[in-house]
Amino acid sequence: MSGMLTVGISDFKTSTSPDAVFVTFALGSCVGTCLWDKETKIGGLSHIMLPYSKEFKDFGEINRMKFADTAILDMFMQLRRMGAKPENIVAKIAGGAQMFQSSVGGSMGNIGQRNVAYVKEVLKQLKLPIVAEDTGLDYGRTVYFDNATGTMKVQSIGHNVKEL
Amino acid sequence: MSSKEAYTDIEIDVLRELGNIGAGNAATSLSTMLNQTIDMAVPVVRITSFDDAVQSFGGAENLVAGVLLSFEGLEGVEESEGIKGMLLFIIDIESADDIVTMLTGGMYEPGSPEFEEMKPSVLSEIGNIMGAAYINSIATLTGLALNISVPYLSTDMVGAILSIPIAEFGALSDTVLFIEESFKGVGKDINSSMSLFAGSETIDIIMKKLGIEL
Repeated sequence: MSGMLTVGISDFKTSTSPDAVFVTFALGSCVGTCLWDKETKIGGLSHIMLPYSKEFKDFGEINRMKFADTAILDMFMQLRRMGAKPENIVAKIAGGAQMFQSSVGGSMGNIGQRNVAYVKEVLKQLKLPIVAEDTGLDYGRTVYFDNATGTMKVQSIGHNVKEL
Repeated sequence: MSSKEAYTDIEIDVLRELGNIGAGNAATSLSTMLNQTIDMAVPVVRITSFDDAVQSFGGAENLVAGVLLSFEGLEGVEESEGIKGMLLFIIDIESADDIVTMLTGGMYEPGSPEFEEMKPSVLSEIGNIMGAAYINSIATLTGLALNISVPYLSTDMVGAILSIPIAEFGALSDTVLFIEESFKGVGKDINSSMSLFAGSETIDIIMKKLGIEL
């Protein structure tokens, strides 16, 4: 597909092109965040892995695209520089699953939940409304984001495709 | 704590040998359970970007079953404290059905409700036994006191499964280290692998314990 922009793990991409379609594959505990200016159709997709960069500030340089706090702020600033208006930007988020369950009950870790909570906190601080969300539960998600329409498509194994 | 992306050749050799011993014991336990010869390759020590790690498991959307166990050094045992790692047993979906069928003596047809209900606990138990064999052999070799968790199961896209060890050990650097060992059944296809993930702090402790001067 032309114009398909693949967003890796700990990565974000932005575009001013209405032909752009972003994709990030197999989000597990990670969270995908789409930001989109509904007037100018300038948008971006981020794939974060961990909630909060400050926990690791003593360990030297970090990859800002890995953490919710730094990644979403940087993507927001980049969209603004590209001409997006803050008051027009809406957010859609997906991912943050609890991937592993024990057959005797219980699940491993809560990194997915923490990622979702922190992404929401950052969006709140930036005053960006979350207009669609498909988070939590126990399965992986591939996210497509269409810059022309602002539609977030979520694909997973054994669940119907969602267009949000 | 430090993040490092470069290991010496000696360290890599030691890690490969650890993987060889751990996975060798895991393969033996699998072979005993299935009463079937299991072939294993030479383990590969990978230090790769997150996306390349996912690629090495057949690509992000490859559908697999994964059993994850975490292990850590026993608290209060001075030289074992601070050890933290994960073992991940990955098996492709068809092989998972085959292995469950073999272990349950073909009692139920794959796809039947009874089979599907039984499958998670059988797969978890296979991962559990193999993981325990792996960790026990490393504990014996190094003299470290290690605790292992209960097994956790996920049947999903391998990229989503890998997000858990990658998030655990990929915070400080943009690479993740794992020792990967693949298994194949002889006669019957059993495509699976077992990988040990650990951070650089844990590797330093293991090296020190084995008397490898860095």
